[in-house]
Amino acid sequence: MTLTVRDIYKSFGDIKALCGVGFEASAGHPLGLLGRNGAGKTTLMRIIMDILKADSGEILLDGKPLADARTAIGYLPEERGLYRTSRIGEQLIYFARLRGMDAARAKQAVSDTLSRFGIEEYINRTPETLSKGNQQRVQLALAMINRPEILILDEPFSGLDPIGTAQLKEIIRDYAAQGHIVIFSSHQMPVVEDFCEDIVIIKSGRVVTKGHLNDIRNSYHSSRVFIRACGDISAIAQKHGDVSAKNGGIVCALSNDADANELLADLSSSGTQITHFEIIRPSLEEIFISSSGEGGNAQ
Amino acid sequence: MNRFFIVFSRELRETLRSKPFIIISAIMALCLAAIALLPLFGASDGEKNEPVSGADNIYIHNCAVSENSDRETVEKLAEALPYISFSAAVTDDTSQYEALLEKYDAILVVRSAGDYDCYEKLSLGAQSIKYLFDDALTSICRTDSLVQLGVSYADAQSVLSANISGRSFFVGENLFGKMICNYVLVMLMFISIALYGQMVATRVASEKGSRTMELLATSASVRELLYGKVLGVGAAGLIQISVFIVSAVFLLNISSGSGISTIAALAANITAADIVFACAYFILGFLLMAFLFGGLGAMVDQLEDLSGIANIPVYIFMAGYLIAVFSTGSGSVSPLMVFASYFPFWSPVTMFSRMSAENVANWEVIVSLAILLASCLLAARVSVKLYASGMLRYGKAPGIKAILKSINQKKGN
Repeated sequence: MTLTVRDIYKSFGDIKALCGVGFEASAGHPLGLLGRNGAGKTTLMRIIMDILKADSGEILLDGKPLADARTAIGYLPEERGLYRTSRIGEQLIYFARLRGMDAARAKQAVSDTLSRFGIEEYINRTPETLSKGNQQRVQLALAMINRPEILILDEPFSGLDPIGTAQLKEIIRDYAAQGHIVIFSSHQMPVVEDFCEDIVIIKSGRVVTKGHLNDIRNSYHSSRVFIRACGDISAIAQKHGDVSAKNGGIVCALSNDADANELLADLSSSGTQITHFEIIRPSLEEIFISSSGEGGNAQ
Repeated sequence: MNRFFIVFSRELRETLRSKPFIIISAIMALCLAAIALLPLFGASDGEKNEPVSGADNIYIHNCAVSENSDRETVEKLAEALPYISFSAAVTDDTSQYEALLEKYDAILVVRSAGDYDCYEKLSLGAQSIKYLFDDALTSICRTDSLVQLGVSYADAQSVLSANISGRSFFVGENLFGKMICNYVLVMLMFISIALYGQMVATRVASEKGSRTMELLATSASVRELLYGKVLGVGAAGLIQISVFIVSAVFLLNISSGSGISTIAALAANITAADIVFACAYFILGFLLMAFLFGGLGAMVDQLEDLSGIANIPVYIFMAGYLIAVFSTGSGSVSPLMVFASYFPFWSPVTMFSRMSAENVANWEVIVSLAILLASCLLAARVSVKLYASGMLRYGKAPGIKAILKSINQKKGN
């Protein structure tokens, strides 16, 4: 199952919010949708969910337009949205029914989902009586109540403690592994790095980076090298760039015109025994800053 | 359509269970019970003031007469008014009368049959009893005059006390009874439409404030959400009003204590057409206001911001109510009233006032309803645009310019 976002354009008056955005998200491979505030992520998610209409472009599921985005997509908004004083069970049944379930199936689905999240005892409580972590679980349960084909999560782990984050990660990971499409938006780069295999970075309404995370990392020119050796290699390394000590070795930040292969050749010819030589691949945060910052360019 | 019914049934259920709804119902029930049953309690209190026969239910027993009053005239007066005691004679000093009136119902200073003073105690809602003495003394004067002209006293009395057997019949429509009924309907309609319309705005604004609206928008279309909400709250309002009317009739029938009650007499002035028109005006008037309130409710971020923006339709609607009330009071139909009975924001309340003041042709009512229906459809379209635009808008409360811009926006913007 593949979600195809093709050539989406959207303007609000004179403001161009999205300019030809396109990417694919596959079942089982969570996709990280990244971008700075105002980049156009929320507008794009609203268009996918059919809350907003695009000026042009297509949203396709397995090559066909979505029959009913409201039953096919589950959404967890960044700002939590629950009726504060209504019982959780009633709210979930209401949303399950809006998403196409009959009353009996909705009731069963609520019971099953709350059990899966380990919060079945909250069925008769109101959200205002729950902790933030449990409210977030209820919110995620609501997004997944009808087992939608596509799950869109906007900052799902914000405000959660590490244990709560790990629990929700596990649930979402399982859900993706069961053959669902998961689109994930967050500013917590380590979480996205840990969670998503594919990423799309949007800047000013344009896709500037997209693809498999490892491929993207490999495509980035690496400018840092970690070296361990039996002897002092600082002097040789300094010819190629700035050197700093780290974990019993050195990190050499190569200067613009330097090359890691040339450094390795120099070290080998010096006769020093090299025990570890590793090109440090850029982290997602570095890729994000590089792509989304002032100097980022569309790929 | 199915989603519409899901939203509709939830809104209906939540409105019926909401605290404001329960509180209003309880207060109204207590008020109705108090108004209807108070006469029963009043009738059973310990005081034994029986109405005096022949005195038009005026409660008067003891009448004092000043010492220097014309004795002969007082005697004739006592003869003419046998149910009043004139035995006591009191001082001529009027400064003491206030104290004496604690004891007597009235004090008379009778100089002659054609010249007298009547002192009564001033009290709230008091009915003067002077007309009793006026009638009696006029009769005495005339009898004396006839006697002086040579007619015997018995003949003179016979002539003056000749009884006329006359009956009064009203034919055609009882416009006064109809005016009372219509006035009650107008008031009920105004309160209900404003109240339930605002309830829609409140619910929409609180959904937006709690960010539930964005989640709802991912589960149902704007039309399904807005129409379900408006009709759900409206149905709750209709149920409440029906319960009030049925219980009012029931309670007032109990309080009347007889088969033919005042309510029954008033209700006889309401025709089936009146009931049909009343229902149509209530439903369409509510829909017009509720759609606008729903759209405007989505334009604000928080419930607290609602009062400013929601007052606009309330003020417009209230102008119609004032026209209706003043027109009902004057009993005439002005050109403004005729115009108001066609103007969609005002016609739900003003047409009924017009109907109480004159006979309005059915075609006029139908034209007015058609204009109101067209306005409702337009309001529904406008409110869908406002709702769609407002549900994703956060920040400072919009002004008129921003609202008009939202209405003119293309779908999906």
